[in-house]
Amino acid sequence: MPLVLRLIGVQLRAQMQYRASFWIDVFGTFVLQITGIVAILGGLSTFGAVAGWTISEVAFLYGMVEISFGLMDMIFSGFDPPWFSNLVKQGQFTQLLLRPVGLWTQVLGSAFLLRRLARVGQGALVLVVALSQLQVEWTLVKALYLPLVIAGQVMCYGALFVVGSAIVFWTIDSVEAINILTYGSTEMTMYPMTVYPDWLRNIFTFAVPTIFMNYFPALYFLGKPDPLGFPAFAPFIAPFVGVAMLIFSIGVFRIGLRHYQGTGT
Amino acid sequence: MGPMLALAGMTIQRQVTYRIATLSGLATNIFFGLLRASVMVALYTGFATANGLSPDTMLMRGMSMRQAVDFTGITQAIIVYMALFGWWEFMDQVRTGDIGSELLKPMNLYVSWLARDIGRALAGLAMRGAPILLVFVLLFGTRLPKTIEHWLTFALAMMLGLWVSFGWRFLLNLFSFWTVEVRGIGRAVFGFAYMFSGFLMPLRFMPDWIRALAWATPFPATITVPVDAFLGVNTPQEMAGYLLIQALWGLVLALACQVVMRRGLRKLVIQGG
Repeated sequence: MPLVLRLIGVQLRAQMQYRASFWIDVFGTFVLQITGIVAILGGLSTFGAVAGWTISEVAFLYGMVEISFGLMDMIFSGFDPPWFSNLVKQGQFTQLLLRPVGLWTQVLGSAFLLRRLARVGQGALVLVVALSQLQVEWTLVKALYLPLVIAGQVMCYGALFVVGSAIVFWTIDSVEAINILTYGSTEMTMYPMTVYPDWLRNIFTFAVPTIFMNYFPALYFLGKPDPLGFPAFAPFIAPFVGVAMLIFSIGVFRIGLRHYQGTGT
Repeated sequence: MGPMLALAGMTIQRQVTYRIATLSGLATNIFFGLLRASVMVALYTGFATANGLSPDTMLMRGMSMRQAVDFTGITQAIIVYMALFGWWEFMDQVRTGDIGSELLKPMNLYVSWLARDIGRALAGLAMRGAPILLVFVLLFGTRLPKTIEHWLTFALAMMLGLWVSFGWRFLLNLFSFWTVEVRGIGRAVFGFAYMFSGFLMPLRFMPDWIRALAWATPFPATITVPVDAFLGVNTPQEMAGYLLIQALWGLVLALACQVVMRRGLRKLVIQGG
């Protein structure tokens, strides 16, 4: 078994030692997330639609991004910037460098928060409810493509976590502004991107290409026309963009690592 | 009053020390405010177009688009003041045992923590709230209250709101006397606080059943009342009623804290040193 899976196995066993504590945490996170979306959709329902998208269509966007972000948050727990910042601050990161095992294996294996499944669960719940309200014309291609979109989003948000952690090599403390890219992207992509002013949407198209992760694939799944006039392949590049972003983030992390000299702990 | 002031002052000092964190947090608040303001504009223009109205003059349940955009600014500005994203300081003290030395001080726990929370809140208001509001005024034309009465009403609603906010947060933290699992359950309580306080969406936009549930909790007193006071969307009579609701919740929660605190302290065992 690959070492990273063994390390994660250790994490899981440790977390399940305190079973009651674990389930209370899952419950708390689930309620925290679901109340948020009920409040937002409740507010939207008074207006009926957002930029031509029905409440169910917005719920579809939300479900997709929550499932993806929840999965990412679990898999990339070790690269969650505040967590990574603690590794660096307390000198544990230096220890990882000394061991004859790959750094990625160790950081990914340093944390794996199973309770993030609560977020995945509530995203899935919202997605199922949304799909039951929507008349999606399912095809084999759509059914096969849906998990690929989710995988692409996991990589995309994972890349943002890795970049956020790389910044820690310079700042030591994790910088709250990275939340703009991570948590900000999730909140942003739960609404149709035409809601935002052009300059803001352009940033999230050309600088951080999250528009291709959720908005364009949703246009395809829901059979909606593209008001932005992008090429016809725009809904289908999500997995590739995810891979590209992850590769880019690994590059940034390497540069940061070269800069790293320890914190004296 | 002396020790209360000293405690509040010390907490302010502690917060002012971290300037980069403050700037970075400010950027985050502005970004989320921008997102939510964009959504509000899209909601109003969409509804107005569909119903042949003008987005600039239409009202949705008594709120104009201008006020809805201002709503996103003022809610972002008071997040830190109201500690909306979590507050576990007291719980941490119980868990680490630091509560022991705390108990040696000749002050009621509720009072001393209220003092500290006021310091925390005022620092948050100065370092986060005021700059966010200023940026919203400059970028989005957010309108500040114009008359003295309007400012005073807002200030009163903010003070009472903090009292209620501290009340439920402290009450929640007090349960750490009985269990170390407060954080998990607490997360759910903070979830209901988001939903029922009217932070994510104005309560007036909510379906009736959510609004009815919300007003049965103390949470609207912490966000909806101060925010409505800021926006000036209520008649003076409605506002007076709201302020009364805040005062009642503040009092009820203060009494509940005293009762729970006394019970908790009776069975508290300090672990180690």
